[in-house]
Amino acid sequence: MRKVLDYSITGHDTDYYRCISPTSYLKIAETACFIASESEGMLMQRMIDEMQATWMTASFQLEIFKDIFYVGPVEVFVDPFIKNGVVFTRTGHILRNGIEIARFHMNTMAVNFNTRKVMPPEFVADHFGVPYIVASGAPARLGMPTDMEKYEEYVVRYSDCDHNQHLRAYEYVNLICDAAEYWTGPVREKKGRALNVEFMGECKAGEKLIIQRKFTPEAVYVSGCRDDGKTSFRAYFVME
Amino acid sequence: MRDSGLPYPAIRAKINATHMVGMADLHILKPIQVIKDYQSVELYSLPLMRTKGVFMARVFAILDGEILAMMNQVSMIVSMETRRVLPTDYVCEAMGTDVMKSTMTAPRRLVLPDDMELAREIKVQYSQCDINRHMNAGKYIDEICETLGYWEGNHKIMNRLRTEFVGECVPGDTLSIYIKKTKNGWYVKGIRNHEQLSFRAYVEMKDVEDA
Repeated sequence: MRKVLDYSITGHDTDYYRCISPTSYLKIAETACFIASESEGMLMQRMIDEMQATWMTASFQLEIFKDIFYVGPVEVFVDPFIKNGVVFTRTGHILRNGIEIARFHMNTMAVNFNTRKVMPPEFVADHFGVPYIVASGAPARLGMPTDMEKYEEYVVRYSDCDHNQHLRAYEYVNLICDAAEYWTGPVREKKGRALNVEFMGECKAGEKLIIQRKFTPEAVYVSGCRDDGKTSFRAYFVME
Repeated sequence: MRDSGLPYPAIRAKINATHMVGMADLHILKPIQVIKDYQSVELYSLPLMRTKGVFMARVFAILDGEILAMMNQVSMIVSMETRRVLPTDYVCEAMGTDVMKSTMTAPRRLVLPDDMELAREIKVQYSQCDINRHMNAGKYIDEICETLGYWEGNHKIMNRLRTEFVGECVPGDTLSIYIKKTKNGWYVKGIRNHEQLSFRAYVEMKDVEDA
């Protein structure tokens, strides 16, 4: 594990209840993973120029161990890349005062920018001479309930999209938190403990996303389906 | 604000107050498209000034010695309990700091046209709200840009965006956004729950070909 980021939590990272939201954790994780990859030689612009490739997040797992309510520094440490099937997994640890407050696993794929086809991750890593550990296979997929209820229809906005010209990963997390009533519902000031999101089909500006959800005793399931019937994302969110 | 002795945690703890943006007037002098791996922008600011009710800042964004943008911002210190603006004399004394008094008054307000048309309505979500439990200033900007089609059609350059935040929106509110195109730019206003003025804005932008 090595430190890649000293990050200062500011008011912009805190939400309605002064907590660091799952969305903010994902932003921190994305920043840390970007820095880690670039420091290992996998430069984003070279990927685009030399390989017509970009990274896309396939899934993201977050565990929040300790809530913090005050602005101030945190440190982000990451583990080496692990190749799991067609994804690279980067595990990160977010610490404050030496105590781990959150942990994430970012699973990313190398994707051809034009065709949007997944490229073998070792193809990209070997091109840049980036070391990685070969593991046993891709993480297990989420099993979703069959009786989910419709929550809302959301039209993707341009301001929701990033340089890959699709809905940004952390905007999905905002949608998930809203659907899960993270900030509202019968019990206020809920604390997020674990979030698992799978990104399955990208959404472009102007596309409609049908959000469904199901509350169970252990977690909230949230999914998004595009107008063409294709699942865009699946999520499992544990709160207390 | 922080460097002038008014950091958020301290004003929250000492006088149970928070920062709020009253007005942000952004002038974009040179638009940039990020094409390199890293582009570092430096931010410079003039010393914070104040009037009786507001604090005023001017910030410059500089890249490779060239000014990209300038922003004039008016902020207030607001009581968390009453949501009323606290006089700057009181704030400075309570926080043990001194911010220079401006000899100028705060910037004049935008005068909106009468005949503005409804363009969009949105419902404010919790995820759009911040630590002040209202819609974040940046989210208003996103909604203004969406409404004006900033990212749609031809590639556009925005030269100016002036936003005055008048009435805060909270989760569940309906925000109706009205627009009016004039010769030089666009006027935009937001009405909260069909009743109260939420924001006023003025935008200048043009297609890249016309720039």
